[in-house]
Amino acid sequence: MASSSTFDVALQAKIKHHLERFETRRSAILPILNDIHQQYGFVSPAQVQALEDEFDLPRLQVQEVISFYSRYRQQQPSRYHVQFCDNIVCRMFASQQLIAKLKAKAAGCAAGTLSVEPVPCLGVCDGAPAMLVNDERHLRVTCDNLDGIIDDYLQRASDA
Amino acid sequence: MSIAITINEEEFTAEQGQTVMELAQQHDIYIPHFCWHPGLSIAGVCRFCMVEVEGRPKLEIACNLPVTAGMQVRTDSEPVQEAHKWALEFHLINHPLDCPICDQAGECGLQDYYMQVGKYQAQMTQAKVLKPKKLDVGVDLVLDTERCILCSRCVRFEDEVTKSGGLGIFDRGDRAIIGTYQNKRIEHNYTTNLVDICPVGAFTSKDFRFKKRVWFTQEAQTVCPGCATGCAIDLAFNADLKRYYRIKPRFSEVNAHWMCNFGRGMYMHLNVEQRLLSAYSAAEDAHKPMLKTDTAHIVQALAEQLQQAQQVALLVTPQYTVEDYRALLAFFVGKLGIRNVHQWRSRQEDTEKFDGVLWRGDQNPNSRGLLEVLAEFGIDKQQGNEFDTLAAGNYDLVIALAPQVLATFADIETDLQKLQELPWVSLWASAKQVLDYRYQQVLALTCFAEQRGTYRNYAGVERQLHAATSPVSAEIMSITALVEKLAACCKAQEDEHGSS
Repeated sequence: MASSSTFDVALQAKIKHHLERFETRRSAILPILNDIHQQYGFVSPAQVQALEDEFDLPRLQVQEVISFYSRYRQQQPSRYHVQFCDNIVCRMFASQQLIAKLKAKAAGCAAGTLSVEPVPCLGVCDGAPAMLVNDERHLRVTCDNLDGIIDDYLQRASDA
Repeated sequence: MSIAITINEEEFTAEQGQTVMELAQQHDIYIPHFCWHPGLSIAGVCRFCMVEVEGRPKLEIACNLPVTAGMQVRTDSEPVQEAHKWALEFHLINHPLDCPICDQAGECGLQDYYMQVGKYQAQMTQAKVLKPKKLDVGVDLVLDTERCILCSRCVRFEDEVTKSGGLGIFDRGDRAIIGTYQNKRIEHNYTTNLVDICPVGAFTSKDFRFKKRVWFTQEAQTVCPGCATGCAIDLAFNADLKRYYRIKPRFSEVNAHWMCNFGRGMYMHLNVEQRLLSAYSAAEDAHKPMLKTDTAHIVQALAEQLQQAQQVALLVTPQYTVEDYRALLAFFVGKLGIRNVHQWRSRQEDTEKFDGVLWRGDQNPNSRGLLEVLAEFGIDKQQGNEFDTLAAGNYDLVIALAPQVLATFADIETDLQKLQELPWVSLWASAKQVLDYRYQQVLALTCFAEQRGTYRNYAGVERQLHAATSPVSAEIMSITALVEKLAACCKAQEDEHGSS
């Protein structure tokens, strides 16, 4: 079974661990999804199906949880996914113009390289305007330094 | 241990562990509710069954409120009425209010409660959230997620009753919808129960929707003839039009609140276009279709054949009532001494089969009843199909009671075909289909919706039938009535012979 699993051995062990940790199997869905999401950046329908086939977690229950939390992505994100804070303090520091600028930039890149998503508060109002590129945080973004930050990532992508 | 509590200042005795909702229901005290259902677990999500309890600062939901000694509950106070108004206002925020085109209208919780406790002046000004409509999510199911109020009754039914777990709630807040995983279809034999328990028009039945507004139907409390379980049903019909529209389960010890989809189809063969409406006899050229004939003539001919015949046999399906069997056997066995009585059952049936919920492989409602009545007349039999024994026998008169529901016999066509090859057959039936064959005579019978009587189910429990309407044609009658006519005819012949 291990060789044909959708998940690698380490992830399988984590899933089994979560399933044993809780009184009901249903309770394990959330931590399991977190682990899958952390590893792949999204949870695909194939993975949901694999949870049912390999670990006997009903796909319907898994999908209920995924659809409830908007932070679970269901499609593979771009290589660099920018989550830009769109709350009041960041807006006062021109987040909307910055998001527009980023969107234009993303449109000019190859598909799957760069994407932008306005999100509610990132909780760093003192560093407004703030954004996350994948898991890395950038504070006090301005029209002047935005291009430089993003180009660094894009450069890394082309180097790799 | 019993507990004394008051509801609206009236005293009641409750059982330990009972909820206020259950107690109220038991005594016909009205507490509006959506998510609570007596056959399902408690969810407490609709927040509609609010009641006031003396000494508690906030209103409580009656469905999840266990009774305690000395509890004083009010279901009609001003705060309660206010709570109902507002709860309903919230339920209606994203509901499309499309009652004029909704098939649930007339039996809809939202509509009924709105008339009783509604606010009437909506204060919501925002646009409604639009959601998927007209989804085909399974056998007999149409889902409109906009009408849904997320009471979760259907989800609990799938989890608790059929244990198929086919439905869930996806997304969140005002975008939350009921659905199946990736809109996969639910394919079991109990899906229409979801339509019954849906308190609004989210689930409607493909078979029933847009056929008849429910306020133009009446309901007869009778028993499903589909299998040996004998579920209690409400049969919806229109007496003026003499049409039948649907079957819904009614609570009984046997079937609780549910019934299967197969049983719900049992109304279809009741309608006039499926029915044998008068008696027929063979044309002179036996290959030509049978001719419509006066019932009295046919009974006369049968009486004459009874006098002449040397070997007479009865072929009986277990789909008629105990009373009919008694009348039939009292005459043929008791009076005429005919002992060749054969059971006619489906060749391929597996009477042991049971799906674990309600449906049984024995698709005859009165198998037990038939055997018991046979035993009363000294004929001891086991359940079994004796059609071949009869067909092989050398009988010059066979009186055959066809199944009421031909569809329950897997190879009814072969049987009817074989039957027409016998020398002299009087077939008693209620389905028009028998006219495709050629018999000496065919007599038209009433069906289960048109008569009173008793079935005995697989466990021997008595199930009482009640007539919905008078028969669809004046020319059709019950077995009991036919036997009476026949007996009278035979007697007249005897008297004639005796006097001559």
